[in-house]
Amino acid sequence: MPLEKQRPLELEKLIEKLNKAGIKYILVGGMAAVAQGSPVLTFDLDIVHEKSVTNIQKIKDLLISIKAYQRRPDNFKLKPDFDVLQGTGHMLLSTQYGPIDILGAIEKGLGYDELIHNINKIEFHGFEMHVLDLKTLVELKRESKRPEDKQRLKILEETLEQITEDDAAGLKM
Amino acid sequence: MGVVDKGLIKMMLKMTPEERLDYNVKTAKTVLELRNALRKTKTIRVRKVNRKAE
Repeated sequence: MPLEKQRPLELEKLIEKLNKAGIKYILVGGMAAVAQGSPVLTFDLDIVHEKSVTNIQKIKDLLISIKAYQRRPDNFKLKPDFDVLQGTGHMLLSTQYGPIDILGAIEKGLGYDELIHNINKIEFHGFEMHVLDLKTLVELKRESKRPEDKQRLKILEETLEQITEDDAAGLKM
Repeated sequence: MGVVDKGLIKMMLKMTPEERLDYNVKTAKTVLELRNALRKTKTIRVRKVNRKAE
């Protein structure tokens, strides 16, 4: 069976859907790093979600409406396991607008309630996004043992250093 | 491990967050198109080799 083509990410559409549904989330991972100036290439959207009953219901409704299914190395299309949304687990999904990872918690077991104090608000095509700040991203990536994180960490650290230098010189980010 | 391209970071920092995200999405789309094209080429090549072997 030939492997299915990876659907490219339609970021603007996914953000629009998340925001219009009123879902509480924090953008993390590669896309958060890119938004803050790190030249890394990323193919999916990683978010950490708030775990109230209302928010989880909104996520479930959205995932159904955008035809989400579990992203797997084979071609089997399995429905998302919505129970994961209540815990600290990760849902790796494909949707009609490309891949999205919905994470209950990231490094050190940190979830939405802990991370919301370390965000930057970013405007994206008319929608406001809560993005995990670069300083926290760097701190968390330092804990990671994954080789790709270690490689990416150097780029994130250099970006943070340049932003700090610019801030000290009175330049805008 | 590779050297960090400081100039590229400087360039990224001159862009707005929206421009950076759009730039990433466009680049990722191009990479996927290239990957898919490469995969298609490989499949055609394998089919040709198989046909010759028959």
